[in-house]
Amino acid sequence: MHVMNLQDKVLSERLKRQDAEALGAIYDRYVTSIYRYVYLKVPTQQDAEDVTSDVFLKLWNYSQSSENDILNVRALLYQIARTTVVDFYRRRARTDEVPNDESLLENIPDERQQSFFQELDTDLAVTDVEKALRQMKDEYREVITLRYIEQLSTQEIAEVLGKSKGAVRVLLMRALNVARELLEHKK
Amino acid sequence: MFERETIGQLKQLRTIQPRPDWQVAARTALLRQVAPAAVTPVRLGAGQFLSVLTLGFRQQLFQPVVMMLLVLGTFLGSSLVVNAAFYSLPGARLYPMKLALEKTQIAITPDEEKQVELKIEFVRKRVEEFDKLAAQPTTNPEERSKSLARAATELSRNVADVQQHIGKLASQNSVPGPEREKTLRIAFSVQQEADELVKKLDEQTTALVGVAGIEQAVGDQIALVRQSVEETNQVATHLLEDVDDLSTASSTPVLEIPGQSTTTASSTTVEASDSEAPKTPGESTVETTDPGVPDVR
Repeated sequence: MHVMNLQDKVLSERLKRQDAEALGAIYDRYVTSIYRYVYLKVPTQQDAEDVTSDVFLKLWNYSQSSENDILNVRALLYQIARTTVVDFYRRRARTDEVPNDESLLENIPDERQQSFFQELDTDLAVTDVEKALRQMKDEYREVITLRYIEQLSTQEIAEVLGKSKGAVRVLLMRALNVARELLEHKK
Repeated sequence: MFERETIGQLKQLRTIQPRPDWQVAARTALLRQVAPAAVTPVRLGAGQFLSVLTLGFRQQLFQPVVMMLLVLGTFLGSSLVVNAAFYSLPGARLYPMKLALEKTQIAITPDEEKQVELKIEFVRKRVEEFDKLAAQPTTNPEERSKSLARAATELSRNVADVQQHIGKLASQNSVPGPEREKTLRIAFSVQQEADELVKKLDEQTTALVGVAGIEQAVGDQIALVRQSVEETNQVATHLLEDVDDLSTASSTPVLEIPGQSTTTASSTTVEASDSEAPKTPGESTVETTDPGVPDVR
């Protein structure tokens, strides 16, 4: 079982007591991880930034409204991130947020819509891996991201996904097989 | 081997970072949003700090090794001794007691998968003990060298335990259907841990070079342990492949994930999407209404 380190425990306790500085400290510790996790699940960088901001606000709201102690703030953040991404897609499906005006589309900043010359400078290896990951089933991509990119333990992943450790291990094994095939195909 | 390459490639994605200017702006906006409800920085009093520490202690209690040591301590009527044994290092008086308690724990664990997990955990503990010993300042390098040699010996014993277990599984001519899933999980656990352990042992070997008073024999012993771990990893990999092949040949469902339909171990469905967007929420396995996931909307 993951044992939250002392710093996280103290920050969680302060968070429950409405300490905004504690929220800032948790943000500084985890924003890169959560951003990266969300980035690989949503279409654009802008979306990743919006969803990530929502995640930390929801953490604050949860800490204020829940009676329970936060046993593992890291796992909780990933759980919140998962549900926030689901909400993002549901909202998008309901409201059909794609603008009709083409000029607006051109102005949407998206680092991944790169010009030919920018692509020459891009780290193609990373791009290929990212593309391979995006081709995978969501549950495979998720478990790969949590284990090998965010480096959570099997126990933590089980907590985040609400599965048993055994189920997570089996999922990891399958996901790695798929990832290997996709990456070999891209070579 | 292929897996290590694949994992290495996946880890490249750790270079994905948010934009620094967005990070700062989002932080400012976040704190501004929560400001009306927030209070001035909270400093935990002694009582509150104690409750945070005991929360951590309660979490520690559920680690299997600690649970077992506490149960035995109640029976022996000497919980202080048991706790002291738990923290002892090679060379300390209570260290043999710690090893004896670990052996007892394995002996009374009925489930084979849990036994392997325990054995792997004990390997990890030996590595930690070795690190602690190597890092301890000392005025008696000879004594430390002896303790390190002892630690390396115990480490190689624990690795041999795991190797023996996985070897026994591999030597079975056929694995009955219901057992295959368990065997796969065991082999996979061993494989995962072996990769991490090899890295750790390489670090230890590097750290030992040139340290005063550390005999060459200790470094050689660690190198032998590393070789054993590599061999164990290979056996686990072959076992994974063999059981996988068995399942394909017999078309017997092997792997079941709770709540999902049964598939074979060799199923490698790849679902390409037209755009870069991942699956829509309707196809996701995420359940926002699951009571186990906090409702934070």
